[in-house]
Amino acid sequence: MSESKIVNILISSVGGQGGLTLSRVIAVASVLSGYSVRTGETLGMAQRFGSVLSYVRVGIDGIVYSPLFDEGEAHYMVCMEVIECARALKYLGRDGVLIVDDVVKPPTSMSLVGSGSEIKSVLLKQISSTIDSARFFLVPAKRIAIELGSSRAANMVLLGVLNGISKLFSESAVTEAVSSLFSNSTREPSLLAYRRGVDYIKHL
Amino acid sequence: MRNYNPLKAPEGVRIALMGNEAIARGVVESGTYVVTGYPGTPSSEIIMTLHEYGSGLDIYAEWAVNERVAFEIALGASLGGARSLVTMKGPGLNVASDPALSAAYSGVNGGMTILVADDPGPMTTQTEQDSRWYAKLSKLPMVSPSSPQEAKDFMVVSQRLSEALQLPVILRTTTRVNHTVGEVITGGTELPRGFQGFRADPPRYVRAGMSWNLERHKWLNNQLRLVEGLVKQYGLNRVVEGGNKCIVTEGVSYNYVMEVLSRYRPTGNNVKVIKVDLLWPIPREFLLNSLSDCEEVLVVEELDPYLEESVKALLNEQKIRVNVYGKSNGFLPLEGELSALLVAKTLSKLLGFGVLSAEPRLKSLEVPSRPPPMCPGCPHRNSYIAILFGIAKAGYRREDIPIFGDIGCYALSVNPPLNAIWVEHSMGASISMAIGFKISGYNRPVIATIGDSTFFHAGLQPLIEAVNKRVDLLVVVLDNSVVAMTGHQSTPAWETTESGRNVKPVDIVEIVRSVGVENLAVVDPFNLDEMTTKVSEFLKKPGVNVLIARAPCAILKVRREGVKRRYKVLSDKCTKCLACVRVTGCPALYVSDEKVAVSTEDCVGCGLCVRYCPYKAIVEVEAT
Repeated sequence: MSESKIVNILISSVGGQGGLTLSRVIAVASVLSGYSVRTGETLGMAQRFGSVLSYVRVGIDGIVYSPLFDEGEAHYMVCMEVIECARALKYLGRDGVLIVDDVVKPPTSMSLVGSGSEIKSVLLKQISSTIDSARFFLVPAKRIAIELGSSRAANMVLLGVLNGISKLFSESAVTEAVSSLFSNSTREPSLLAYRRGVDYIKHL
Repeated sequence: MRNYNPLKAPEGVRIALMGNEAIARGVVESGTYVVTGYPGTPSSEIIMTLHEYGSGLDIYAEWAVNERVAFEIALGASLGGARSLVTMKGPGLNVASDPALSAAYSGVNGGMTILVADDPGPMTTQTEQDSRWYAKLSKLPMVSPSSPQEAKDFMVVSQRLSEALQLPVILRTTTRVNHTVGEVITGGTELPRGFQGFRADPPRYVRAGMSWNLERHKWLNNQLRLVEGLVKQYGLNRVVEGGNKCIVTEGVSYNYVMEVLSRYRPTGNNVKVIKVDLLWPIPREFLLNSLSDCEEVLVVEELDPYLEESVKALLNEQKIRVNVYGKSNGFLPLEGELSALLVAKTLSKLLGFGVLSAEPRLKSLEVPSRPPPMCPGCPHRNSYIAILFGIAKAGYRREDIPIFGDIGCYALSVNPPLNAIWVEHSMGASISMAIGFKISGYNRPVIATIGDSTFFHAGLQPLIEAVNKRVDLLVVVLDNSVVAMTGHQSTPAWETTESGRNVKPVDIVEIVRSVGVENLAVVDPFNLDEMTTKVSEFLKKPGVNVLIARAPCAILKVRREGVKRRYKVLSDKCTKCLACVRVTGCPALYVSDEKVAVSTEDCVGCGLCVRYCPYKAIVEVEAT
């Protein structure tokens, strides 16, 4: 029973943004790389526009048992939305890397009291003040995806950023994972978005 | 959508599968022919996977009208020697429990597996029901996988076990198995096994003879004595590691135990893990053998102390005196999910090792909650607005008219700003509970709201009751033409099922009319004025009044037709009065720079908000 090296990734998003697809791509890429993997998430119920957390655990050697990890145990946190990032911050580990898409989607509970997107800069300021800048990556993933003409591909841009930093997967593993999960029409735009994410980190 | 097919992959391939996809693969590996069930999180993706990838495999995979009907379909198929599977969530087994108890007496011929998915947490279920007790109650064998790999393997095991015992077998899972993705190595497949033959045998199959029933009960109890011996050959029930500090565990909890042991390696690996895969009958021989040298026992399981009680009874009966720790004495909680951290803390109390819990260095920031709202363009939003306005139009105050809700997306109307439903319980209960409320002496109108699939599932009998007893009631059927909440499955109103089978659509309007409802109207929730008027009119009529609010689920509609209209807010006209948000609560509306804005990626162009802007600030833009 040797301890395996496990990489914990937390994906926080708003239902419908593509967080579950992102976790699935990572899971498939993991298996293609010969790693063990477990994801923990709930789906099926009307999750759209609700808070969604996906736990992904990649076992570089040895088997992963638990599909979940606890607060303070994420090595990487990928946030597709700033409010959900703030909500999930407690999961980030001591030396964890935080990747955040520069996007805010105020929930209805805020709209009802007249507050809204101004919360983004407030939260980002708070987040950046508590985390070492070397481990904090604010990425315009959604904007990059829109520029590429595929607004749904922000998750793939973030995957590129994640893999550019973590080097968890080979290019061919990601390519094969994306190819096996996406239909013919979305495969190329997804791969393009992924590569744009990798480039973004290279040129920082 | 995906380019690898988990059902058609060859033997010996290592692929990433969700637990439910792995069970669907197990269907193919076990030669199962009839698969039916009713959608329910976290079980739905088993049949959905068969729909998505199963073309040409000659497997009958179709949704049934409810779990009870599904169960009896699977049972009937297996009587003729076909292999069958029925899938449901925990509360679905409550619905199917009547045939389940009788099925144990008649038994089966072809393998029959009952997949029941529980939901510790709970994530998406009205209770934290522990369906393991059903195995004891129904006297049916039950097996429990801990991972996607085992979910697939045990699907095959339970079919073999079922055929060997001539009994249905319950495959019991939880959310963290059903919805976990992990690596799975495929096995070989078998051709689906359909009808083989059937011989009349009244003492076995007819439950109307009491002396027969007594004999079958004896047979059943005898069969259960064979189970433990049989599962040995399938490699079920395992002891991991050795030692005299013992942990008894099952299902996903096993993973938390192993996680903790591999991370902390407490007391020089003096810990024995006893993994119970057969939950009923309790594997006595296995447990007694593995517990014989234990100095202390901790039982790690989710929900009720089911294994714990069995372990204690067994040790007691054998006069073995060791301490058993678990839920009864507060070492683990009786509610909610377990986690590696919870298990680590409990184990460290017993074994005295320090838990290196990663102290969260960062705290989460205080942010507003984000409960799931109704989607933009959801017809149910319009229906509840029409109901609330209709109440006012009829001259009542909102707090005078109770609205009974039911199970489906429309239960989200409980949230602000609609704050619509007062009660929501179980499938079909909106109508029946409203009847009870009314006949108990409530002297103002009462409203029951129920979705189309829920009506098919369990709403028909309550409606018959209401008509028969002449109850004054308004029933609003929210007909969005699909089982929306669980991921858009077919209803009996469809002409073609997901597997491409041409079926005869059943119309709710015809059903309602045929049971004798006199006041019946079909309305379009997007014609708000008409629906509001109808609500106010029907509220005042005696007898059972039924409004069928018919408009397709917004998600389906957009998938079919795309977004036809786009709207924007003229910022010079918007005063941020928030009327649009406060009436609709639409998640596509948000506040930005002291004005309301429309989220173009979320808006589906229903135009509801336009109605409620007093300043005409929301206008249509040319769709690009």
